[in-house]
Amino acid sequence: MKKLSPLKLSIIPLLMFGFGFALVPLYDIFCQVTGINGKYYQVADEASLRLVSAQGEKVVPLRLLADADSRDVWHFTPEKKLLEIQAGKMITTYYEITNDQDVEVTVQAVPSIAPGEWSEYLVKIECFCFNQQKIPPHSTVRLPLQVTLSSKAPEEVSHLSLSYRIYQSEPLGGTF
Amino acid sequence: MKRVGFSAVSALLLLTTSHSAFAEWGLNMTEGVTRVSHDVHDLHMTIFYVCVAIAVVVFGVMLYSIIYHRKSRGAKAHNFHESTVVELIWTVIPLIILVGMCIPATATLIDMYDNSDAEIDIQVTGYQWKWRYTYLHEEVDFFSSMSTPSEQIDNSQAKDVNYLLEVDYPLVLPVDTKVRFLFTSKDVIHSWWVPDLAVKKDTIPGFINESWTKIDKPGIYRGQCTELCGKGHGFMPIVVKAVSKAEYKSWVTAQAVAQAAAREVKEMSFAELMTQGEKVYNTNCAACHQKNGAGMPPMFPGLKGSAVALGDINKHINIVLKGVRSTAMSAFAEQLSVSDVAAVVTYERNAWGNDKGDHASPMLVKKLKDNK
Amino acid sequence: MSQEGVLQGGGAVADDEHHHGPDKGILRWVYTTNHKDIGTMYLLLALGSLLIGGCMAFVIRAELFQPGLQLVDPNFFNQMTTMHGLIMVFGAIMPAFVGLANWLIPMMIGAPDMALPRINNWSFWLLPFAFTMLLSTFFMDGGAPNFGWTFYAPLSTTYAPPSVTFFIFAIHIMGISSVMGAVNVIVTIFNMRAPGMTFMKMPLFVWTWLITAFLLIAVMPVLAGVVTMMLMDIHFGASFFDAAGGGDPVLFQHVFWFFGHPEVYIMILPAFGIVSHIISTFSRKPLFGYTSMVFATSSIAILSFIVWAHHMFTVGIPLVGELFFMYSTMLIAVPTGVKVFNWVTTMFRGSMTFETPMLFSIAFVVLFTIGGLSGLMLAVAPADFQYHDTYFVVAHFHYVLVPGALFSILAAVYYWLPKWCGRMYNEALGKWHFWLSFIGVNLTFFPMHFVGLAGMPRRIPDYALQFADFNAIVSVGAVVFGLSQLLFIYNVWRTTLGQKGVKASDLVWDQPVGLEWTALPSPVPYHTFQTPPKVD
Repeated sequence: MKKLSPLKLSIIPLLMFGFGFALVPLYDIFCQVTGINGKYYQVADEASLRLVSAQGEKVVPLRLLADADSRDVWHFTPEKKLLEIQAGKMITTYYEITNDQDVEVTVQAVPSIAPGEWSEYLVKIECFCFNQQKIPPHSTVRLPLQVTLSSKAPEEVSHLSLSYRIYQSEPLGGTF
Repeated sequence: MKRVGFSAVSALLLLTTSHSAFAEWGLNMTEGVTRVSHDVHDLHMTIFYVCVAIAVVVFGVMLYSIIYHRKSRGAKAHNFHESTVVELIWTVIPLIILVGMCIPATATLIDMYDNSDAEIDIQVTGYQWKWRYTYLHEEVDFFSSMSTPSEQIDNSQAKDVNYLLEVDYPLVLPVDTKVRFLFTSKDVIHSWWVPDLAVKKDTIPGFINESWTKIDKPGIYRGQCTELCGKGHGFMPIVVKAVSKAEYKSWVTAQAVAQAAAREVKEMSFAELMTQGEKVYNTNCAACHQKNGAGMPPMFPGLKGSAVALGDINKHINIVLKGVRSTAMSAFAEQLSVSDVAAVVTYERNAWGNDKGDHASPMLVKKLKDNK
Repeated sequence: MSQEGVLQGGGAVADDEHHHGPDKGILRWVYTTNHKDIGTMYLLLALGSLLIGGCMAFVIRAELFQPGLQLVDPNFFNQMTTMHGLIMVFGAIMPAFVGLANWLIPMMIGAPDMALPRINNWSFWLLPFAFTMLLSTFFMDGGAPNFGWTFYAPLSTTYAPPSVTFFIFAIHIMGISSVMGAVNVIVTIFNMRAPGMTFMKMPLFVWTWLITAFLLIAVMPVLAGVVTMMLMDIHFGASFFDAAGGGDPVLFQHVFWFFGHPEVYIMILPAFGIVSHIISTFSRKPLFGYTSMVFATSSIAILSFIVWAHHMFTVGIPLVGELFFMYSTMLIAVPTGVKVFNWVTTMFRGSMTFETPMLFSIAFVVLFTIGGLSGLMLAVAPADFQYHDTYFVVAHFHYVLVPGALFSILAAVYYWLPKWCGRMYNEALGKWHFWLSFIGVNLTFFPMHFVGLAGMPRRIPDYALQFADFNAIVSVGAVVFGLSQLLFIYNVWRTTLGQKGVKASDLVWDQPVGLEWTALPSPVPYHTFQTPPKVD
């Protein structure tokens, strides 16, 4: 009878330990495909935009929300709380952030879209969340956001909500 | 031996059935006041009856065997031990039952997920340990904290009917109106649950979740946080007050005016500050720093005789406004009005034998808040 | 609980196997590589954990006896619920099954010992250190872990007490121990079966443990992975679960429940094996549908990997995901149903007697089925929005874990104890233990269904007045159930160390099936099957 080697068997737990970590990028891919956690939207530049979004009839209300971390003291609000987005029509809007502190802060905005499964139909051309933002002391900065609706959005897409939560971050990453 | 068991069980049955207010015990899921909650209740009852039927059949056969196929009655053991046909039957029949269950369940779920065409959007934000309701179509935005006094919790006072289920400012909603909730959280994961609406959704920091409701009849509906969120988890109830559309409209107008007024800064006397301060302290601070200011070191430092409460007043105000990074102390700048912060700081400096004698004026707080 | 029997066993072989007898004194237990000694130690550790975790349950139930805060503050209450869960899952149920596996698998497959005896010793001796570390967190600044046994981020990362690091390392050590134990079981079963014992002739307890062991090596490393990620988030500035750095707290729940759902089957599959043996013996009939039992167990194990998100119906999974996890979860009811039907059919037209192990096994089938049916209700996603995180869920998983897993362990000890130590336990005491436990368990956990449906969330230290009456009953039930376990301890003590009770015959019961009964004397010698038996 062929014997099962315990060393060979130990490969399974080792692989599974790795698999635990592999779940992190797998989850990201999974989210991207299914839109589970509402983090994934389309990013387009002007050229490709013409390809993805031909002018459409469909108008969808987009609700803008802002959400500052409870330990952070800046004021962060959208200039407009409600937009109507239409495929092929670009809309530029602004968020306002005020830094009352005596020092410059670097912040990163993290978006979340609800319902998550429709997040792929929100196309962003320009967003302050793409990069970290430096806010000088005692000043208010207008952060631009340029969005449109994907022409691929099916009929049942009836509304979208886009929320930004803002975090103070170390300049140059420090994120994993 | 068996007699002991049976008499105990019958004693329990007697105990339960003889209770005068049987209905008040709350034995079953509420039917609720929305279409969805009715559907969910019906689903619950259907699956419950299916389960009871399965249990009756399985336990019936078992009980029959236990009674009739026991050695003490002279039962002889048969030797059958396999039958593919039987195995197939009891694989297929449950499958059919399950498919039967899945059909209404799927329909209800699809309905629950239809968040489109809401007339009102409300952002619900979970905080440790209170809720914040932001009416996105209006200039209305407020916090809702438990209003049960701590004397009732520590048993030194008789408990109210709605013990632990009452708040200072309820969420007011109009009836017959589709309301969409956008859930998020400031700190840890909470979960917003009102059984009568059959809405339960986790509030997750950094993400938004959606749900909706359409209430059929006016009334007060109570719920609680259902995701462990720290020591105050049991003390962040939800109260929804459903009113007629007209009443809702006038409430919104009055609320917007009241909130604007609260933002205005006016001077207050020391006595006013102390009275208001005690109220604000007990609602917002006492959970951690304790009612008597003793705190629960080392996680929650005491305020009685503390360096902060007896030290520089500007620093004290700033801690309340901005919180302390990487500790449990959160920032109250957006949770409390300027006068509330002034009051609570004054209270902390002059209560429990702290006798600084000074007071924080709302003007000073406003100045520090705006960092001018 | 069977040291005396083992010592005797050692004496019995001393004539010809003198140099193979056990060491004397405490070092015997430190150095031992004997599967019976190690099994005994596992069972004693499980018993100790059961008592510690039980005391925590008493604290919880005492606080919840009446509305209002009487005994403990909410933070300590959270530490109690957290540690109660962790100790019971990782300290009581899992080690008890490993202990039974150590004792029984070699005897059932005709092997002289486990395949990797030194690893066996090591995997046991890791555990006392892990649990000492876990319990020591009570004395640390900020107290013990207070974020629930499911330790959802960010409550368990950004907002956790400093002791969370010790909790993480304790989990790592337990994980290593479990994985080594599981590797040992698999290798033993693959390599050391007696000639003629094919896979489809293996006793069901061996089969269920083989499948459990595969689940263990597949998911314990994932648990190790998730706590490692927490460690990196807390101490090394990573942000796996923090939205600020591009992470996602919901990811934690996915990874945790990818471990967590197979984990609940790890705690119930060996129980299926145990009651299959006992019901067959005391019905005096072969088990009905052996083959289907093997396939049902395997399919439960496989399905357990694709149902995890039913613990997360309210986190905001898209509709398609909810539907998938609802359907796959309901599917598990099919193989589980097959098992219950097989047990009932085994009893049908048998010739039943009701000794203590049989009583516990019958109670297992009834009460586990109730737990299974409430599980079916929980699987219905729309209804789960009302059940989720209420006492209904608490009732459900206690029904499958207490009268489920724990009753099967008690049944197993009563059933095999005479074989291990050569003496019968006291039957009258055993029956008292059973009836008191049976009443206590139902008094404790059945009313939880009602308060849950009526709207009481779980993990709260204080509750609204309409839940008061049922909570009082639950607390009384918990005292009845908890104290009646002392009868069990006394019974086992008087049978083993106390040397009371009539001598057991080699077969012990009326025509039981299996090598441990037919090919070995009672008590079993310290070393068994040094020449493999023949199985036909």
